[in-house]
Order: sequence, then C-alpha cells, then structure tokens
Amino acid sequence: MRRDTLALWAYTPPGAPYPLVATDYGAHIEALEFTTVAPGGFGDLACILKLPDARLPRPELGLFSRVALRDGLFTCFSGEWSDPALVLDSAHGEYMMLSALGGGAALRDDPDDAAYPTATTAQGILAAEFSRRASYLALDSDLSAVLPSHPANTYTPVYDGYTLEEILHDLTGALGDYIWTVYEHPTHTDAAGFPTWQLRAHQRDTTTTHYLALGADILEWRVAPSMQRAYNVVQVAYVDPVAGPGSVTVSDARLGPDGAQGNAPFRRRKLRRNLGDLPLTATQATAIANAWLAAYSNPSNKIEITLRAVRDASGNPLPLSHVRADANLFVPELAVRGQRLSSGPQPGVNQFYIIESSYREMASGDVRLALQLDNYADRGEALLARLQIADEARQRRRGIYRPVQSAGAQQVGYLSIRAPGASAGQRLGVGVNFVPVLSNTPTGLTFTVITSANIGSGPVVTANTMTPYGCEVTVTAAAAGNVVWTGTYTTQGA
Amino acid sequence: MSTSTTTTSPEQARENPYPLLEPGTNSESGTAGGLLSALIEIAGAEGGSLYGVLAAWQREQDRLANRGWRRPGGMIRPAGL
Repeated sequence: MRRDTLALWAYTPPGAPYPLVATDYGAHIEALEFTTVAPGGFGDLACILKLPDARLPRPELGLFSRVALRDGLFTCFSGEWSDPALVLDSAHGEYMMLSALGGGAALRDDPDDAAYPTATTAQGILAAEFSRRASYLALDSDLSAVLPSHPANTYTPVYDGYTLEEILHDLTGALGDYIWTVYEHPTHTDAAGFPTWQLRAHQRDTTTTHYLALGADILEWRVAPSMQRAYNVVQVAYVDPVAGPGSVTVSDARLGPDGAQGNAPFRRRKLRRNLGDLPLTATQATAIANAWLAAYSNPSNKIEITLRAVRDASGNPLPLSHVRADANLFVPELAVRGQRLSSGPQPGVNQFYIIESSYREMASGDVRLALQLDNYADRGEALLARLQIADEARQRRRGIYRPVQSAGAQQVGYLSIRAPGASAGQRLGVGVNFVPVLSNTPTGLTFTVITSANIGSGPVVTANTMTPYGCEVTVTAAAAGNVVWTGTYTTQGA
Repeated sequence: MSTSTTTTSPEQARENPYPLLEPGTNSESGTAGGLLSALIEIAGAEGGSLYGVLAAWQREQDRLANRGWRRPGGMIRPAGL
C-alpha cells in the first residue's frame, strides 16, 4: 500500500488491561476499502493483510482494538476492529481479513429506556442521554458540535429500548433536515495520541461546495431522478400525548386547490407516514411534514459516481481518501441537467450531497472513490440493511406507546350496568374505555342487549362525554328494584 | 458522416469474470464491489481452485450485506424515506 501515503495504525484500546501497543500496518496491506456515511460518520473499513506469521499474538488486531487510517495528520477513518479473521489457505498461506466499524458504532452499545414527560430541547435530551452513559461511552464527552444552532423546538419523547443512535435518528428527523456524524475530534486525543471520536449534529448543508470533480476526474456515473422521492402532499399521523390521535396534511402551494397539477413539477403524489409510535404535538408533526415536503416537492436524484481524482472547492487536487460524507460535491459537467444552464453550483442539478463515500485501494495500484449522492441506490443490501435495523429495534421493544384503531373501523366492546335496589327513575351510569384509542371522536354508539331487567330508558351516551378515549353510558330504572343491562356497544362514525 | 456500432468481443466479455451484482452494475463500480478481486487473487483463481474462489465470493457477499446495517447510521435514509 502507501501509494496514497496512507498509514494504517492499529492500537490497543485505551483502558485495556494490557499495555499500549501501536503498529502501522500500512506496508502489509494487500487491499483496503473504507466508507464514510451520513448519517453515521466513519462507516466501516475492510482490509486484507498478509503477515510473515499471522499466528503471532497481536493484541492491536484483536476485537475492539482501535484502528486509525491516517494521511499525515488527516484522519481518513477511525474505528475499532469488529471481525478480525485469521485465514489459513493451503495454497497461499496465512492472511488476515480484517474489518472495522467506525467510532459511531459505540452509539449502539446501550439500548435503554428513557422518557421526557417535560418538554425538552433536542440538545437537552442528547446531553441527558450522554450524561447517563458518561462512565462507559466510548465517544468523547464534548458535545459542542451537537446542534450548535440551538434549535428551540421541544419534545416529549418516550424511548423504549432505544440506543443513542436511534435517539439521534429520532431527533434529527423531528428537527427537520438535520444530520449526525461521528468524526475525529479536532483537538482531543486518546491515551495513544490519536483523535477521539466526536459526535456532530447539525442542519444539512446542501449549498456549500466542499469538493469539485471535473470531467477528467470521473470514471463513471449513474444519475437517476428518483420517483421514490417525488411527493408534493405529505400527511403525517401522530398521537399527541394529551389530545390523542391526529393527522396533519401539507401540500405544495404550486398544486391547484383541487389537487390538479397546476404549476407543480409533477402530478399530485402523497407521502403518508405514521409517527404514532412516539408522542408528538400537532406543531411538531406539522414541522416534520413541512420538512419532508421541502425535501421531496422537487424531483431529487440517486447518483452514483466513481472518481479517479478529486479537487477541493478551489480546484486544487485533493487525495481521494480525504473525501467524506456530509459534504457536497460540485460536478460542473452536470450543469446541462438544469432547466437553465447554470454558471455555478446548484444543489440537485450539478452539486450533490454525499451520503456515502467508499474509498478502495488494491494491490494492483487501482485507487478509486465511489460516492453515493443525495440518496442510496436501492440495492438488495440497502433493503436488507433497513429490514435488519427495523427487526433489531422490534426485538428490543418492551411495550407500545399508544395503539390507535384505524380510522373508520368500528370498535365493538362489552358493557354492563348492574345496580341492586335502585329507586324508580334513578339514572345509573358506567364509563366506557375504548381500547385501542379511536382515530376520531365517534358520533355515537349503538347497543346490542344480552340481558336486561327493569330498564326504563337507555342505554344512552351522556351528552358531551364522547371522546376518542371513551364516554359515559347511562340507563334509568323503570321501577324500584334491581337494574341489569348487559350487552355490547358498537362505535359509529370514528 | 460516420456511424459507429458497439459490439462486445469475446476478449471484452472475458475482462470481467465476476458475476453481475445487479443489472447495469458490474463488480467494479459503485460500493458493491468490495475486495472481491483481491480475495480471488489470494484464494488462488489462477491455481484453478474453484472452491476457493466461490468461498471467497460468498464470504465477501456476506460482508457487504452485513456492513450496510452494522455500520453507524445503517442505511437510514435522510429525512424519513
């Protein structure tokens, strides 16, 4: 390796029971690949290592030992070994297939329960979650790069077995178009002298040009406007902690009032998401819906581009390994995609947000950088990853927040009123709880009797008691004596 | 005026011996390539060990499938999709 001046440092983790061992394996690498991702920061690293005798103990290549891929003082990747595999092949001897995960993987170490009944800012929630885990969290405790703009929105979330990573996904989604990454700390270092891992969270910046790729720098590209991300009406269903279930709908002002296309770039297409797993107020749900509408109301792209060279924003050559996700790449050649030929960077036309960078270096001398821009191409691996993340979260969950019955579905329940020795004309009531909660307030109930005795009138719903959660139902006694009414109720118009 | 046609010669077809991962993407492009070619080289493709090549290919496919969700951030789409 070292064709691109990279040093692959492996070292025993700070705080380990054995002494610090740090070795540069750069010269032994046969092939190397690493990624950075947004959200996520340092993604993963894989390399093939041929050592004179791989059977010698090497604690710095053991599980959870650290790895830092550096180009001079620049940290290209920093993480920890996750699956260091020793392979013995009859024809070619021993080699090591090493893979590492970025420092952000430590955010997944501790799924825990937390609830914030008092409205708290996203920054406050993250500070509290970090402080609870302060004694064992592998990340730097410095949160100065987390939401430096201090967004004022407050939330009352309930986290059931959530990891810090999921909390970050939840909060950055609730804030709108925000992103989080774990990259190296600019000044803090660990016991071995390498930078610590720093959490960063901020609004996504799609306008600043960070990197530039001219036509000669590009090996291949695939640019596909994505129908999957083209929506101009967004409906969000939510469950307010107090007011109960609700939904908000926002739409592109360019659509006609009746939903006709009008001046919109494409016909009416509605994105609908249920966020009922977490408490949200109408204001918060509206903010989320508006953020999604802003992101999807103009056609967006899935772009894969492979580079053999890259430049910084001023046009000076930059090593490929320095390109990282959560930055923008300006490709002047793509200006022709715009409705008007643009003279400068224009987000979505010739400047794109990098969500994944994948740097690869082979023994043959082949060095290339593959970028996923604006969104992931829908490969099988992406689908599998999302399914596995969802299933993993499901297995951790201890309960559900508040189940809601689908709108319009009638609910049938049991009802019983029994009073011994009622006086004639006496009114007897019982509370009815709808389980699960209904999507809307029903217009009324119909009743089917199983047994009744001494009923003068009813059962009827007491005026002004109907809510999506339940109501009061009363009967009156026809004469003095025992009153019995048992039967079922069916909701109407919910 | 000149016309050009594009044909694939047997030599060109042999340049990429790896299985296609999906239509339009060969194993060298995008992020799906991984370290397969280096693994095949080490596992002894020239030595004719088909088993070695297939085992390396399978292991690399497993790694690529796993890394998408194991790495930080997983494959979470920005802004909810």
